[in-house]
Amino acid sequence: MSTPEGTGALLQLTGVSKRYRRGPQELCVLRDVSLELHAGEIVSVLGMRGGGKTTLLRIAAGMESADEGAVRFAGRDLTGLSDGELSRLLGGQIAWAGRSGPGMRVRMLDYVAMPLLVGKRRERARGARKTVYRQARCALERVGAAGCEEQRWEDLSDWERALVETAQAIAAEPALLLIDDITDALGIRETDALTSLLRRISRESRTGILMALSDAQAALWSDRIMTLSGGTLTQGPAAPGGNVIEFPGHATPQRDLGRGSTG
Amino acid sequence: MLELRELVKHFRVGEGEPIHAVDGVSMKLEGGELLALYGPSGSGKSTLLMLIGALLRPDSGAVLVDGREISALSEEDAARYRLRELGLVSQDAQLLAGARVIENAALKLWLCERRGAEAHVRPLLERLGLGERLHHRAEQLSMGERQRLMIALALSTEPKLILADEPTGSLDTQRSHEVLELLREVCKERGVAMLLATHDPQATAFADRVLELRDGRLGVHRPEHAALDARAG
Repeated sequence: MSTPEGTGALLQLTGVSKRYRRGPQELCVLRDVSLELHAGEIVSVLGMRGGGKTTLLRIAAGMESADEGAVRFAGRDLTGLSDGELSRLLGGQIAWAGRSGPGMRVRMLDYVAMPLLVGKRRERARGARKTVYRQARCALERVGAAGCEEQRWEDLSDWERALVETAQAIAAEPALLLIDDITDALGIRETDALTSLLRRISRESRTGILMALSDAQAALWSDRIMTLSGGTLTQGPAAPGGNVIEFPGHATPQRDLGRGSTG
Repeated sequence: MLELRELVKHFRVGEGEPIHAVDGVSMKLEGGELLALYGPSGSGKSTLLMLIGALLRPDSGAVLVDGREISALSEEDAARYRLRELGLVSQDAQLLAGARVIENAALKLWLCERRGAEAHVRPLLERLGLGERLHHRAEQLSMGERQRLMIALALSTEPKLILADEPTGSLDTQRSHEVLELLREVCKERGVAMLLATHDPQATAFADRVLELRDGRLGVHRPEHAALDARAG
C-alpha cells in the first residue's frame, strides 16, 4: 500500500475545518484539525457527545467533505476522487463500525455479509455468494461471535451487537477502520475486551484504527489519544498498555483490577 | 389480508404484576388500506408490530397473513417471511455506508438471490423521487431522501404487507407530510396493506382508518385523547 509522501501515514488530515449553519448561526465543528494515522496503529479521539467526533470520522472516510483542508488516504487525496471511487473505497479499504444495526430484520450472518455482497456485485464475480458467506462466517468467528450467525439484532446483547458491528467492519479486511462510539453502551469488562480485540486485529492485519470515544476507559488501549474540544483537536497523554491517566473534562477511567492489562 | 385474532402478549418484570402489552387485540386490514394505529409511547404499538413481524410469539391468539398463521411459523420460515413477504419502514433509516442508493435498495433482493435486482428497483426509486440519486452514496442523502430509500427497500420484494413504525419520527413537519403522502400513494397504487404505528395525531390524517391502542387494548380512535397525550408529554 502506498502512503502519503514522506509521512508513511495511512490517513492524513491536514488543516481540516467544518462548519454547519443552523438558522442564522454558524457552528464551527472542526477547526484546523490535523491528524496522522499509520498502518497497525490505533488512535482514539476523545470528546463529549455532539462535539464533532462523528463529523471528523465521516470526513476521514470521505463520507462528508471538509470546508477547508485536505484528507489523504494511502497517499490519495479523497477530495479529488469521484463518487464511484469513494464508494469502492468505503466498501473495501475503508470500513465503518457504529452502533446502528441493520435496516431490515435479517439474521446476523446476512448483516455481516451485506457490504461484501455489494462489493462482489460490483465485480460481477461468478460464484461470489459462497465466498461472501465464507468471509462473513470467518469475520464472526474472528471476533468470537460465531454463535450470533442465525440470531437477529433484537435478540443480541449490547456486547454481541458491538462484536457483530466489528465483524461486519473487518469482513472485507480493510486497511482503515473508523469506529464511532461503539463502546458507548458497554460495561467496563466488555469495553476492555472489545478494545483488546481491536488491538489484536490492528496488530495482526496492520489495520489502522481511528476510534471516536466519549468514554476515556476505551482509549487506554490506544497507541495515541487525541482530545476534541470546541472543534480543536489536541494531542492527549500517551497511554499504551492500559495506564491510568487523568483526562481533563472526562471521567477518570476505572480499570478492572482483577484483569491483566496486556495489549 | 392481515387478521389479528384475540392476540395476547404479557411481560412479567420481576415479581410484580405482568405488563399487558397486548391484551386481546382483534382486527382486520385489507390490501390497499392504510390503517393508523395511534397510541402514546408505551401503549403496546411496538409489541403489536413485533407480533405481526413474527419477532415475538403471542401468549395466545393468532396473526394471519393471507390466511396463513404467522404466529405458528418455525424460526426459519419466520425469517423467510420477514425477508420476502414483509416490508418494514422505521424511524431510523439505517443504510449501508458507502453503498450507492440503488445498491442499498437492492440489498433485500440480493439476500433473496433474485436476479436483476438493480433493474427491478430502478423504477421504484424513480417513482419515489430518487431517480436523480441512484448512483449517489447513501450518506449523501438528506433525511427525507433516506426515508424514501427505506420505503424503496421495504417495497423491493413486493410485499403485501408494510409495517411503518413511526416512520417520520426524525423528520420535520413538511418532510413528514411528504413521506406520509408517499406511503399513502404507494399503498393505493400497489394494493399493499399498510399499518402505520404513530403517536403523532397529524400522521393519522393520512390514514383510511384510525384505531387507538391504549394499555394493550384496541379501540375506536378518540381525537380528544391526542390533546391529553400531548399535555401529558
